[in-house]
Amino acid sequence: MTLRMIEHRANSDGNRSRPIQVLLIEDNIIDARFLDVDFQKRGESRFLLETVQRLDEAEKILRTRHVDVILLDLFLEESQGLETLSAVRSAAPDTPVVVLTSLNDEELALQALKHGAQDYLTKGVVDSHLLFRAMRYAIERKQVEVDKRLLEERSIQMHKLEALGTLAGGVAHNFNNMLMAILGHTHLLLEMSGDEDVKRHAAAIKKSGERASALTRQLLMFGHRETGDLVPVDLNKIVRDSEELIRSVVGSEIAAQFDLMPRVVRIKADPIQIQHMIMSLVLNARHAIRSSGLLVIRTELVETGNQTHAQLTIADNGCGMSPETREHIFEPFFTTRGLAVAAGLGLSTVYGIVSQHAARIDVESVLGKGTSFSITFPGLTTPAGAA
Amino acid sequence: MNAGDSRLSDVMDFVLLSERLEGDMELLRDLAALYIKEYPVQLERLQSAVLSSDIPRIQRAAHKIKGTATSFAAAPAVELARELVGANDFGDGTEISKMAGRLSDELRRLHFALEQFCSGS
Repeated sequence: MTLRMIEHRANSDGNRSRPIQVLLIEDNIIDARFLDVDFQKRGESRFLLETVQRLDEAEKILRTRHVDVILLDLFLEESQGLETLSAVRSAAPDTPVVVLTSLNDEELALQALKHGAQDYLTKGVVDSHLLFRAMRYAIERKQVEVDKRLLEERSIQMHKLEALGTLAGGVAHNFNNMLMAILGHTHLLLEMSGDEDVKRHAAAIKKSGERASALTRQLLMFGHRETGDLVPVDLNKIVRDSEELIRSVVGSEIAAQFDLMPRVVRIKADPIQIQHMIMSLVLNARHAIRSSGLLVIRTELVETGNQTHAQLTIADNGCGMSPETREHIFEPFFTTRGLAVAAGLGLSTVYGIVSQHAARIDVESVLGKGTSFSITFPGLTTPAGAA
Repeated sequence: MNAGDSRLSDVMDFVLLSERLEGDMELLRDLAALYIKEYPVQLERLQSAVLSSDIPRIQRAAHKIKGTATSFAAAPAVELARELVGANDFGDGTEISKMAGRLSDELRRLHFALEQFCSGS
């Protein structure tokens, strides 16, 4: 099972088809124009240069859209030296910065690299070919750095959830054994007693016991101790079978859109658990949308390496999550709505189900814009030509 | 030497610049026009910083001039701007005024040469 938290990141690959988006932060219009000439004459169509003269303009761009690499003059009218670099890094921590300045200063260059710049180039010393190469290398180096950090974060998160799962599963298992004894004796009381008062109390105990049992089942699912049989099933069929229920859960204010592959999408799964998982994610989306909005349920085939996998995506255009919230969503009893309102077990159960299917869950979320959960299944996919 | 004596080859490495622009003289005219427009701003920024003896401002102004001069392959102006940026102690201000004066003169020469180039003479 792999858990992947996707963040806004550069799309780096050797076979990129789109031009590299370069943001030049330079307040000397003549220097900027000369660079523009270099890009036009020698950059071919590989680069797309955008120039801003002010730091606040750059920060605004970097906070709102993606840029592949930043070319930065450290000495601007409103900000000098490493202060300029810090401001840019804070606006776009995952975007590589190549410093391009007139000051050929070894000490400043070292400091700039220590403060997160990928390179330090001196105007007039570096030619356009070196500059283009430095930018490409900077993008690749930064991508390696970001990937490494994400991998470490993922590993920590997975270990944390595994530990929580072991603990929760262990407690739930023992608790469930005790509950079984309580429910068994209650059942006997109901069968054997002729006293109506005793029966009434026993029925109340049974009802609460069954609720407690349902709760422990969810915890067992999170702790991977509740495994059903995994059989070849059609993912589209599971979604279609849930369609009516989904529409009734989201209500008329939320448009439910089903983008299903027009063919069988085979996975090896426990269909009841998959339906449970879909409903948990749909409920989560409904709470995120709050009033009116859009819920999209999509099935598709995705390529990973040289393998094709079935993927189920449930996306909403609701309130989204902050990165801090996103870090905890799969932990049991974590809820943003308060434990009096929600048990905080919905997404931890989803995590448990995903684990049991040896699948992967990816979460993308932008605060104020929406959230998307994608579950990628291993193994079986669509047979060629199957409809 | 005054500004009127200057030709492009005196104030810049014309061959290097032409190579950078791939011999595109029309483009050089555009860039020269941009310099002619920007030159008074850069000069005024330097002179006002010198008048107020504001060392950080002087160095910032010289730094910008150095960038521009580097773009035009104007080695004498680059060197004078570099001296001004790198100077640590300006003492009573006499030396800095002299250095800034020399740089201003060089900028005028560059300006004059580019104006002449633009006018085709």
